[in-house]
Amino acid sequence: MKIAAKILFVGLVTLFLIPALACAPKAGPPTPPAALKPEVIRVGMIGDMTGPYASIVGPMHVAFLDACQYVNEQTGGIAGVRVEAVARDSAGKVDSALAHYMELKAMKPRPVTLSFYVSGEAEACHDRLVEDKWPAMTVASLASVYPRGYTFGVYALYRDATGAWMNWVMQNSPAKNKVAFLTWDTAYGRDIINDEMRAYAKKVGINIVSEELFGIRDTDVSTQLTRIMKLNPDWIYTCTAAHGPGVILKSMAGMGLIGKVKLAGEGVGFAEAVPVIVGDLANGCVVSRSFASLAETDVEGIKWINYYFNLNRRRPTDATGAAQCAFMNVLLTKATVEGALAAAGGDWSKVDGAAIKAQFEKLQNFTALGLTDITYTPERYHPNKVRIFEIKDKKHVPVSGWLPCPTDDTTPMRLR
Amino acid sequence: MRPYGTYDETYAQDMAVCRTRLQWCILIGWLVLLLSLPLFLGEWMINFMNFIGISVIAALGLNILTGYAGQISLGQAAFIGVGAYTTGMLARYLLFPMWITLPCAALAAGLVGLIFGLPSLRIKGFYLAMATLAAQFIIPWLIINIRPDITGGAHSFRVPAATVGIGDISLATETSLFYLIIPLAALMTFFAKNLQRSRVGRAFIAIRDNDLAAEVMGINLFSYKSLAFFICSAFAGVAGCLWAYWMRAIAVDQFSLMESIWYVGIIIVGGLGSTSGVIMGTVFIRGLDRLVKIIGPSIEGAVPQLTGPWGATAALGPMVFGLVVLLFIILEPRGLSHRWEIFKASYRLWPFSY
Repeated sequence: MKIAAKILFVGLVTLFLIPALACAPKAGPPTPPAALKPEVIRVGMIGDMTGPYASIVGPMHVAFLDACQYVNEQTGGIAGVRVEAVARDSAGKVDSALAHYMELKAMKPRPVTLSFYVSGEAEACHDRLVEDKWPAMTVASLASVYPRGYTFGVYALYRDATGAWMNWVMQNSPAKNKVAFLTWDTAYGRDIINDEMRAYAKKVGINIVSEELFGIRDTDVSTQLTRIMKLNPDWIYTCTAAHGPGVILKSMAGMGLIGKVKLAGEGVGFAEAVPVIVGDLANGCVVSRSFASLAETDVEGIKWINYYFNLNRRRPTDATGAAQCAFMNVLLTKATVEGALAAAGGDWSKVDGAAIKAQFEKLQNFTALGLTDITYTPERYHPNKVRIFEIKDKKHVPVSGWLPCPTDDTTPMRLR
Repeated sequence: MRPYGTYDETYAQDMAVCRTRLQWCILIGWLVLLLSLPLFLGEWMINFMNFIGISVIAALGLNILTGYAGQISLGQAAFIGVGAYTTGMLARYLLFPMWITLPCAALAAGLVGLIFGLPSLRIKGFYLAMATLAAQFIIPWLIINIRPDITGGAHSFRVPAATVGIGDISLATETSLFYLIIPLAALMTFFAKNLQRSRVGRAFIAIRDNDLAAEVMGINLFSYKSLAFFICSAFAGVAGCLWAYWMRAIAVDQFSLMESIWYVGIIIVGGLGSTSGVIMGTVFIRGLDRLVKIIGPSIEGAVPQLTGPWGATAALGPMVFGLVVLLFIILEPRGLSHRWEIFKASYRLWPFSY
């Protein structure tokens, strides 16, 4: 019995000692010499390449690799250092994204920036990015992703893009102001359905006649369309990605509604993949988004995207709007790291997460080879300009210049 | 089978989990080793261990319901969601520390599980599975639609780091959470193991084996079936609480039907009704899932045709999971725990074959 008691005592003492030792603050990595130039700069990407968002994020992955190749071959890397892409597939599961986050965090050297492509993953990592002082970019355009921290958007908030589209409608065809929302029953789809958005619509003269939802896996929306058409709208507006507009357009075609009502949408989802899926049905649709179209072949960024797309023999299904976003992310990383290095007087040891973040906050009218127009401020971590495109002959053709997003804060009260 | 020369002289000895000093030493050694892991493992592995710990707690609950009491539930992930949202709201709005949110999450999930378990008195088997499946649809709908201003609706709900209510100590890192999750998982395992050997556990097993006979023996079917659902869901609530603190942003997508099916798969692979089997099943299934994610990209690198949404990484996960469950049901329906018992018996009898 005495022996058992001794064993128990030693065991219990050990059990208390170990956590104390393990949780004790560890010494940080040794500071490298001031002028030591890294051999490689890693840029990280975590996204759903094989899950429900694979049709969007899969193409982003290949474009991300192409963008790194562009930076290395055409610009000599980042401040002369070779860039290496590190991409991880979350399969749409937040726990997987978190595991990959930990893996990339432990990498030596750690990627200088991270790119997220799904809202939930960006939200789950938001606080960790702040704690780890790790700048990240995301195309997830929900206000809940951007409470000030280390996360920057490369794309206008969904509501802002919608508000800018409403302004465009009222400027160009004020008589056609009846809008029905037909959107996904997800955080993305529901982002435009709230009191603040309704108030803004009312203020600018848009009449929202209906708000209908459908599931991300639904393949038919004729029931919703039947209800909507009873209210005789001029526009149907959607926040859905790739196959979402496809489902709406096919249902509209089945009901003979093409030409009777116009479909418009937020442009990260209503990208080049839509005409690929539904062909000519997409013609005439209107899109509001923050980046150039693949059809704008005179834009330098688009030239390079197409060049590497052909060079690497990418599949036709990879030619989506995702490519522009991925290029923008890598070019933003290049600009901010080089800015941080310049600010540090060439001292690489001072180019850390906080220094890169400070450069993000200073970015003014960053065009990323003509792909976009981004201005961040310490108060706003996402762009606030969009352009309106119309799909003609299965191509996104710009029908406006850069339009400012509404200055009204359409963020729902609970997210402020 | 007991080690050679081990005899029981008292009832306490007969009921003991650890029968010999050696077994005590091994147990303490394992615990010390387990708790020492953060000293020599990286954050990625600690993250995985935390995931395992949370999954073990949820699977233990399901094992009590399905393995002990013979009732089936396809709503375990939804009950985890109830625990997670309860924790999130209490921690964020009322600033409750972890030691208050934890029992509240268990209680809330337990009560919700109790409601969905009520049909178990009238229906069983496939029909009960369908009834519990309702939880998987109703609970997310309620979270999204009833009070989105409180729950965050379709958006993610941000959860602050776990606090212990002493000073400003918070459990924000993977390592600090490890020392919350793993001891709790050990404690819940101990509770589940003891429950099996208690009056309640014996009543559960009697109901599982023949509910009519159990009722004839004086077991109140309604009470015990309800209790089984309550305990199962309370375990899920604890898992949900830990999940919320671990994830720091929760959304209904994280508590999908697929997750519930994974938990059923875990207890099948581990061995229904076995506490050690739950741990083995969890490590096996979750480990396999991680392994697939590691080797999938390598396969895609070697065979470029297998890339993309229909490629190796995407296909391997569900295929391997389905295949493993199928093979276990056909070849070893009693699961990994039975294999472990066979191995132990063979080791003790060696070199004799009987």
